[in-house]
Amino acid sequence: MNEPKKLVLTPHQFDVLREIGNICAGNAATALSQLLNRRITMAVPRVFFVPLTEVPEIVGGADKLVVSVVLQVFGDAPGIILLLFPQQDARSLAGILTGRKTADAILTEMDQSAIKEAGIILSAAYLNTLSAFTNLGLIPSTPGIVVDMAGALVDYVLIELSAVTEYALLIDSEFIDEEKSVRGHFFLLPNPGSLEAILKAIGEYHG
Amino acid sequence: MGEQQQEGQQEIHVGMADLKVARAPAVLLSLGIGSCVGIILYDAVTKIGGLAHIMLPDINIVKNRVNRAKFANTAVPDMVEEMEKLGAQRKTMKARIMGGAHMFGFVKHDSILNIGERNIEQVKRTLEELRLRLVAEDIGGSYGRSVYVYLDTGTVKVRSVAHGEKLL
Repeated sequence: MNEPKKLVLTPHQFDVLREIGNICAGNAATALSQLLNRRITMAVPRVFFVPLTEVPEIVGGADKLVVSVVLQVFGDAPGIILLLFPQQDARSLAGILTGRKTADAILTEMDQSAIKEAGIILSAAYLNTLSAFTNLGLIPSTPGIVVDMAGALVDYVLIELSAVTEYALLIDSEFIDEEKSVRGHFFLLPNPGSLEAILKAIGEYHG
Repeated sequence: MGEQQQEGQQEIHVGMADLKVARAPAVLLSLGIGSCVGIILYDAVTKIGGLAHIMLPDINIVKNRVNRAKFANTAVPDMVEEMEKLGAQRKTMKARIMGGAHMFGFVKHDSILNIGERNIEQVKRTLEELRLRLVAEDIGGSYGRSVYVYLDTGTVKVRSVAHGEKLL
């Protein structure tokens, strides 16, 4: 048996990741505020380092229906960005961006591309800040959008991780607009090697 | 949800990279399967069944081999063995499979990330090697599925957001 090296995060490393996540998410919120022309606030991020099998619960429940924007992160610390919205909130977000209120349950092509655009803005602002902190080059891919069960979305992402590790790091930032009509979650999932790269870059790697 | 829940029907959740075997009248279920594959084995004679939720095709191509239930080519033989321990007969076991979707359009079909298809291929190969008969499947597409296995009747129900419910 070839046991994978198990990385254990210290409470201090958790704190540092949470603080960096906080600053990145803050900048992302500012960018989204400007796009939507309304105040967006971000909660203090939650940092999870958990068995892969627990991730579907963390993102809301395996069979919970969500609208998700997915981006790959390329560069010195590859990973995945997942933006998850409840359906109603995704419709509200699309409504604000397109200037059209639709009662339709189905997201139109235009709604979807508006939501993807919000995903790009959030991700770019988040990664720019993380880059500035770590001096690592980080580039987002083009986004994909999927409306489906949360478990089915993340299994795709987790499969890649599962070949090398049993654990996933998730930095979860919840954002909400001032009218509380758009509430979403921004998840950054660094690949296992990327977690080390980030910790090294900020001088917190003691492996 | 479709079938009426009866007294004494214990629900057994099968998580990602997990496998469970049980006897009637339990209900085995696994929720939110995307590119993973759900493998159901059922022996109608003894009403013993198993459900595996695998993530990857082959244990031999990865370094991380801690959990055998994660891989198609180890989960299936392990499941057969566990069912046999409960008293099931291999020759009367029938297999059904579901899942193996290609979730994101922006991942190319020939990419290494198109794991769904590779999972399906390996599951079928492993079933063949173990001489287990595949009687039904609901695979592929670009949507997630949940599966419910009712061991008292052998009914297998697959539910998705895109296509509602269907029986396998």
